[in-house]
Amino acid sequence: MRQRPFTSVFAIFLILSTSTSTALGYYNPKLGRFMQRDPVGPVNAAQITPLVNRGAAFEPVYAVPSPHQDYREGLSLYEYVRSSPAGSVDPSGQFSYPDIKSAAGLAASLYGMYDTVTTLKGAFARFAADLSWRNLALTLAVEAAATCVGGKALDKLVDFAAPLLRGAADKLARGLRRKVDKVARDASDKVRRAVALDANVIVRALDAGEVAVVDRALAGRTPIVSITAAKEYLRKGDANVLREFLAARGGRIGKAPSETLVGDLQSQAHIIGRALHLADARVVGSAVVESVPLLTKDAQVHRFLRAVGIPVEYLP
Amino acid sequence: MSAFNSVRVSMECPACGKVGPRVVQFKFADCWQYEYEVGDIVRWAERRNVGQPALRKVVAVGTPNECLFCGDCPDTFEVWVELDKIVKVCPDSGRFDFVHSSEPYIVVEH
Repeated sequence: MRQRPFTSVFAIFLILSTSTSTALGYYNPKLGRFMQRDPVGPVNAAQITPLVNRGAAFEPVYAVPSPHQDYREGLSLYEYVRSSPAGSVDPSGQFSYPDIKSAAGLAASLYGMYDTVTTLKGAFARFAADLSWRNLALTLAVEAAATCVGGKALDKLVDFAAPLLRGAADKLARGLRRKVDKVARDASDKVRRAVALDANVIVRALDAGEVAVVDRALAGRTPIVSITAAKEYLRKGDANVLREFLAARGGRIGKAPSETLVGDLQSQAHIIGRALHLADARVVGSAVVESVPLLTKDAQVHRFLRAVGIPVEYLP
Repeated sequence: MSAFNSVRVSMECPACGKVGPRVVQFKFADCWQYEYEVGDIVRWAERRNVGQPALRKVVAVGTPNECLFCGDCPDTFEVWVELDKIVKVCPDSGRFDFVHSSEPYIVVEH
């Protein structure tokens, strides 16, 4: 039996640099040929069985009869795999065919890896843009199968596996969707459980000693204090008192709004004939950015927010 | 919100004409939810006040609560301060553009 792989042939060159008798027969590196006839011997056309679609991923060796088919490996019975050792293999000595483990196969594998990475990148981009889990999983599975194996014969496998993959993808999609929905619900609940406080409410709670009144208004929700409101309170209030108040209720300092948002809020107030001064607009803007209602004692701001539909609660 | 002060007054409702108590919020001087009455002197802090002390005549935008009788709730009242003394609270006369003022008060006379 002859060993084909390209590297093996070179190994024969190196190890058996002189004509050496082996189980594989004689090979003369100087002549670049075997010293024994191909065991398949000459054949006539009647004996030829076209090797159509032998294996899945390569072309048939003899799809159409030709004069060369009188000799399976070419006109010379001392020739190996039709003088193409880099791309073919003849393990039985009876016929040659392309080797998926050859350099070409390796290149194909590398391309497959590259293609898989590209596929995954594309899939991830789609994942980020659109949580279409079912389509994503199905596409990934099918593309991965096509990339890793390829070939027409695998189409049948894909056809066979597609319903199974689709079922698995559907199941995966349902599971992921449930998780995504749960995260969304948790985030929504978190927003519902928070409320922004303006400086007047903080002053009332911490400086006027009416924490109980403010706690009733909070109703268990997490207080969020904008940077502007905190600064306003800290003008005369104690930072540690504010810190303890927030920590005891799981509260925090709110995000600062963009100046664009602040300007837009002021413009909106002007349009409807109301005043909204800069510091007030920043406090409102923070509540808007946090997507939480604003608890305020400022009647003017309360009326403006109510007029424009921004969630607001009034503390008398 | 920036903090405010308030002034308690008893005045005639511009909507129903009945006289009743009103609490009018305004932002001038040291704003820390101090409650004043007409005739009181406003307080000033060492820093970060709204406006400046000893102005001859200032009108601050006031925001009243609802009328106890008719529920009317005008957007704007005027709170007049002269030399740091609250001298008058009245419905918006329309003479001052509080909407486009950069501050919640207008200096009428320095």
